[in-house]
Amino acid sequence: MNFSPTDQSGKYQIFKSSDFLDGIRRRLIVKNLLPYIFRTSCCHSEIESLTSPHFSEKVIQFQRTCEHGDVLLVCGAINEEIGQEVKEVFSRMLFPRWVVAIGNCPLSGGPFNPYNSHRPLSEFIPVDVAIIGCPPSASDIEKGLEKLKGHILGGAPYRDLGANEAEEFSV
Amino acid sequence: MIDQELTLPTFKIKEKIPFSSQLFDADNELREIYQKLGDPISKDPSHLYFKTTYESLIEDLTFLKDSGFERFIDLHLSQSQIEDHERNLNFTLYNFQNFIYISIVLPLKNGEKVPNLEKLWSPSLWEQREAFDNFGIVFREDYDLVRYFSRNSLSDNFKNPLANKGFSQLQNCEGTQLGELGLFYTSTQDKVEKAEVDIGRYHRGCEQVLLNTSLSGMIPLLERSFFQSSESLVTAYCRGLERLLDIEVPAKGQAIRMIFLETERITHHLRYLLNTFYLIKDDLFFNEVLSLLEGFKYARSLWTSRSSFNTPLCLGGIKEEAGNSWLSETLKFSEKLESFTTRLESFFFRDKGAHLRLKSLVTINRSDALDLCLSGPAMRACGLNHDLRKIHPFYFYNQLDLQVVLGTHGDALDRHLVHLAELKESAVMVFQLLDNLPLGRFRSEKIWSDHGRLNLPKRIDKKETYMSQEGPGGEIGVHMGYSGGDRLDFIKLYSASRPLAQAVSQVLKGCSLEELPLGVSSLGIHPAEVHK
Repeated sequence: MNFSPTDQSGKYQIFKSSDFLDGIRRRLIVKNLLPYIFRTSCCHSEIESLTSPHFSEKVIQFQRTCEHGDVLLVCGAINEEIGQEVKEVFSRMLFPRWVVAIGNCPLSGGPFNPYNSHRPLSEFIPVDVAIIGCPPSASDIEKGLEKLKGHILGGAPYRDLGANEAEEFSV
Repeated sequence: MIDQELTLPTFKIKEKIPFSSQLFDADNELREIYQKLGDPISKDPSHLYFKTTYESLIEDLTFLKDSGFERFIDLHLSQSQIEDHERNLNFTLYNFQNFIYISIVLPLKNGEKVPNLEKLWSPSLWEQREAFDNFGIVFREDYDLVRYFSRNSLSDNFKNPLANKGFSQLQNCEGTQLGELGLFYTSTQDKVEKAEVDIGRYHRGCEQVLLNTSLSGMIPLLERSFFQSSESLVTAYCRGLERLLDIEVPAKGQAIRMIFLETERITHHLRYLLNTFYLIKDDLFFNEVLSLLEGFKYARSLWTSRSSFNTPLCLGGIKEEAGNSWLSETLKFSEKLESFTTRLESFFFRDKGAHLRLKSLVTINRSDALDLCLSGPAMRACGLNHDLRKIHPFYFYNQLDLQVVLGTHGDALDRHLVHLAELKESAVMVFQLLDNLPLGRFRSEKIWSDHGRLNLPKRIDKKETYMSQEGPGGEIGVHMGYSGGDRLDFIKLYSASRPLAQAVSQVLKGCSLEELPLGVSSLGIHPAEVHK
């Protein structure tokens, strides 16, 4: 174990926000990812099929409230009003949190692009992984989530991690 | 095709109540209408078109309403893109007694305001707003001119009109099926005083996009526009075009289309039950319904490679032949479903928990259902006997022994029981169709060449039609005009969810705040059908 040398009182002191602990945390998160779906369009019916053993080997349990989620899955086209709502949901999520954009709609507006001033999702919140397809199949989404896991283990930043939140992670 | 006797579900809530005790004298009634409105433009007896003027519009429509055409379907702009650029405004009505559609055609003039129909039919308000936003048609008198979509450029008062009027938003819309629609309400003493659905935040303008796509390229777009009832919309569109082009679908194509329609109804109703179990917090039933739903999705994906898209339907029939794995899986899950529904029936009929919560929650009277222009299970739960599969049967629906199940009180419990009964019936119909799947061609030779290319006429006379059918949540229809080539002149989609969403303001009055999500979810509103 990577503990700091003893201080004057003779007790071991754990490093605050050390890389080592961060690694453990990341590995624990990856073992059991808890996604939350922001549904505005048709892709969510493909995502839902990940909950069954027919489509994927590992069954994923989706969270019913965004506060309990690690990963925000956004599907559907985004305009300004919907974008504000995504922002709200993202702000309500606890740390650590990541974002996956699913389908063509959050990137380019999809088939209904030129109408109603669609805007890319990345204008509102940071996006870690984007899965392309209209809609992407369940196995594609599974692959995308696995890519995110690698991304997390490789040291993807905790989104919007300010000075106050750094204390939250300290042991 | 189907001679085998049905083993129908032994399920009946209450006795059937006829729609109206008076018998409709079609000849006499229509003669009066001819005298009043003149000769019809079209010759199709099931859908009559009459011309009118600005001065006599309200008079004609009130006359029609009094003479039985009680239900307002919608209003839409019909225009030809190629020739003359004539712009007409069509008002479509429906008669419950003789099941005839009527369209009143108003030739538009520049700079004149169209009379307001809000007093005659309350659901016409959203249609008028949409016509104003889409095509710039202005209606007389002051009505609540909230922009329907693209409100981004407007000031804050218009952006959040309901929030500025003191309404508060239902925060957790999970399980209410509302999704991106906002539900706003005001309350006194924990009871809802006013409630309204806010639309326009996510309007995609499907109809505008559809006009610029080819006839076969429209099908994937149609799927994505009503994604929970995509199959019925696509079949309505295909049937409409086939009627215009005089194409007959071969028997095998018809049967497979029907199977897809019925499995979609099953998945829709399962999703409806899923929402209630989520809100009631019954995890056992929730997981069971979920596994069944995914079973059907999986069976579908064996054919289409996606659980909810890539429909095999195309113009003139279906694209490919059925696979055997798809067939056996669908059979497997419909068998499971039958045993499951009997357990669910006993769950809902017991005077405990869910039964007590759903009883007398968000009741709709029979007269209200007529005024609000409802259709589908929400209407049948009020005791109104109306099912388009029975009234305008197409394909093999005549030969299947379909039983319309009706409720009596029109409350949430009745709506659930009607959904359950229909679930069971469609499972039986899927059985029957799979057993008697006809052989032969699955696609019409008339428009498809051997190389898989569409043969469309370059030019035909201008034609209009409205094709409607019973979707899972109610009537689904497509207005379309065609005059040859690879593009439509106009297209307008109709769904039952839109009048339902408008009915919220009247129906949810007096509902307790605790049961508000359950009450809304029991209506069965599809957000995608509302904002299109």
